[in-house]
Amino acid sequence: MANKTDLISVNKLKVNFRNNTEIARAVDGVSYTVRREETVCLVGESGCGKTVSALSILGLIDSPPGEIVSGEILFAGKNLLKLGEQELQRIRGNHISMVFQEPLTSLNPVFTIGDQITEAIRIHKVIAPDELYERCIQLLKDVGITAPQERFNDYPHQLSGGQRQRVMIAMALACDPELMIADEPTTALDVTVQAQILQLLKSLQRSRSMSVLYITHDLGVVANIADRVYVMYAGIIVEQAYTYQLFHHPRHPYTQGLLASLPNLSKRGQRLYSIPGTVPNPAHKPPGCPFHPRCPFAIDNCRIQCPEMCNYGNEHLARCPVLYEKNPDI
Amino acid sequence: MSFTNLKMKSIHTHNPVILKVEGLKKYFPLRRGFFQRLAGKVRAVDGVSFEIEQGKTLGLVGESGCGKSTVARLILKLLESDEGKIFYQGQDIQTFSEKKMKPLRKKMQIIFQDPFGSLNPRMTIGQTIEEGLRILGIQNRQQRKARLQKLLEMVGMSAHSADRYPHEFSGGQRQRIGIARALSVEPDLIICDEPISALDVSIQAQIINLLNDLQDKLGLSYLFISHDLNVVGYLSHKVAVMYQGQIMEYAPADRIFENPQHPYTLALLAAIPNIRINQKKDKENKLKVLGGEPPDPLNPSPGCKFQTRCPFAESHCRKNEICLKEISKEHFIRCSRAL
Ligand SMILES: Nc1ncnc2c1ncn2[C@@H]1O[C@H](COP(=O)(O)OP(=O)(O)OP(=O)(O)O)[C@@H](O)[C@H]1O
Ligand SMILES: Nc1ncnc2c1ncn2[C@@H]1O[C@H](COP(=O)(O)OP(=O)(O)OP(=O)(O)O)[C@@H](O)[C@H]1O
Ligand code: SF4
Ligand SMILES: [Mg+2]
Ligand SMILES: [Mg+2]
Repeated sequence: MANKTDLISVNKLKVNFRNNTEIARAVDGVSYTVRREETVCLVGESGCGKTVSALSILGLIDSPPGEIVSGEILFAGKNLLKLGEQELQRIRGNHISMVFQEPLTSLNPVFTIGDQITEAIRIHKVIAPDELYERCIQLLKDVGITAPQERFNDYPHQLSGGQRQRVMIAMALACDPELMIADEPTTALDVTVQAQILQLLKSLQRSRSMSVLYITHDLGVVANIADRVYVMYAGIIVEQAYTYQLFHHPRHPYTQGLLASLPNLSKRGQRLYSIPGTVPNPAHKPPGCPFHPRCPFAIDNCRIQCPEMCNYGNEHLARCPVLYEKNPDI
Repeated sequence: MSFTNLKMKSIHTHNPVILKVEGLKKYFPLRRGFFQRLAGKVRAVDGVSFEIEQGKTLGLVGESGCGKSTVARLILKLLESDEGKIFYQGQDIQTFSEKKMKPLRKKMQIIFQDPFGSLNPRMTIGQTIEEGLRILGIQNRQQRKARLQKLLEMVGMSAHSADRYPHEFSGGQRQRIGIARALSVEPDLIICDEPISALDVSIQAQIINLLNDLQDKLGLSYLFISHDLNVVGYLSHKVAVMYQGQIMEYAPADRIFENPQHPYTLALLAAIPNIRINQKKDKENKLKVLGGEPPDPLNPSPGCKFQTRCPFAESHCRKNEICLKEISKEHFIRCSRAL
């Protein structure tokens, strides 16, 4: 598993948002890679910078208020942050595509789904009309839409939430991407529908040898879909590991706290562990380790200096020297 | 936890029934097309019955649109039911006039999913909570202030939050304020409609613990509505699984999770992504996928509402109405396979 080549690597990315008085350091020095044919999860709570880091890959940060302060995003040897709009558009169309959380707002309500998918194909390829139709029907079939010929002329509001998300995935597949970024594609869906979509993404990832960058706040989803995981907190990566390793040997107090606080039947009668305090506002992040005000292990140094990643081997890294000194073994 | 509390919280002991609902029904008109023509009806709640015991929690789960919030609104009489009975401590409140309902409104409170929309942005936290105390008839200002401090303390908020406005608080804090407001009128029963789904993951456990502590301390009863089965399993004594307006399975929590019997419950449980994973087969942690589409509200077929998605459906599932049957003590399912 470890020898697959990098498809994309985000290095020390910093993105700020500026409003009249404040600067929010939304993404504050984030690095991650996605390799070929790999599913990588970016997990973290609301506002920690997951979406902003993904939108940076596609050059979709509005500036102002956003500003990419530093860092690089390497894809096929090119730094995407240095490309012009035209080149970026080519990348977006042919190599990297994205599926968003809310399918109803990202589908155009006044066009049929057939129109929208054929448009997505046509942008990137010159193709004869009947072939275009065939390809569109095939995509709808691939994403598990039953009776695609009839659905072709439906408008988005005529589909269920799960079907709309399938259509979004079909559009994202239209260009045969090497990387699909899925930003919380199942958060608005019921668990039974979520299971269908996750299954679909897994099988597409395999059959098309795609890479997937999957963004979520749900650790259950992570356990189910990811090869590797990056845990984000307040604009930085606090831990990264192979999935099994992360769930069985979490090395950052935040990851540990999150896992311990998940309720289930077997914890009945026990008090749940809960992480005290709240998530910091990105415009007023505490100095030092951003987790220190909530961390049971914090020492003086944590309040001063943001720690470096500590290496546990096998690509397992965690940004907490306090726990590392206690137990550096693998 | 004291001995009495342990007894109160145990799944298999019984307390007096505080709320009982019998054959509750609510149909909404379904309008379609350009002229909003009446096309049929949505059977939002279609014959729902359950009981909640004092000091205990009934979990109500099911997918979006299955009628959970409508059940809540019917119980509080915020919505008039088409059929069915609601008993609060043995009294049939369905026939109560608004005047007779008034004292009962204090006894049954609700907290909502959205801690942002449900607090008045122009009132300080103190004013919001004091409103409840005034309703309760505490006229003395001093007494009200003292009680306010007590309530804030109970939900883990500092005393000086009383003078601040909702926008100054985080989601989790606002949810605490919503709980304090509900508690201000000294209720017996609190309906929690998805109280933690809008909160940050790291905050959810704080609110779950708070609800649990308050139940221990005050003997509160909860109707806990959620689509998160893990939370429901952790908090509830009994669980009702709802699908398309009907209860499909109803049993003590441990049995729902350890010995589920209805095909829909099985499908729901199989669909929860589990964090317990295998080392070798990271990718083989397969979720069981439920196929099919929910029934068309315009053309409901006779028989079981789950037939279009059920892997076990047979011809007799498509013929007759299927009733809830008790398959073992206190364990009910609505399925033709229960004989
Ligand atoms: N257009 C914008 N203007 C100002 N601030 C923004 C903008 N977009 C994002 N931010 C800020 O950047 C931070 C990171 O946002 P981001 O959308 O990446 O979070 P996220 O991790 O995707 O959260 P969620 O799980 O809620 O989607 C947030 O605090 C947000 O307020
Ligand atoms: N006032 C109304 N008029 C018409 N239809 C309604 C009304 N209120 C609810 N419904 C319909 O009744 C059904 C049940 O809705 P309800 O809000 O009770 O579902 P729910 O189980 O709470 O769903 P969710 O998990 O999404 O909150 C839905 O199909 C809904 O569209
Ligand atoms: S009654 Fe039939 S269709 Fe309904 S759940 Fe049981 S087996 Fe499935
Ligand atoms: Mg986001
Ligand atoms: Mg609801």
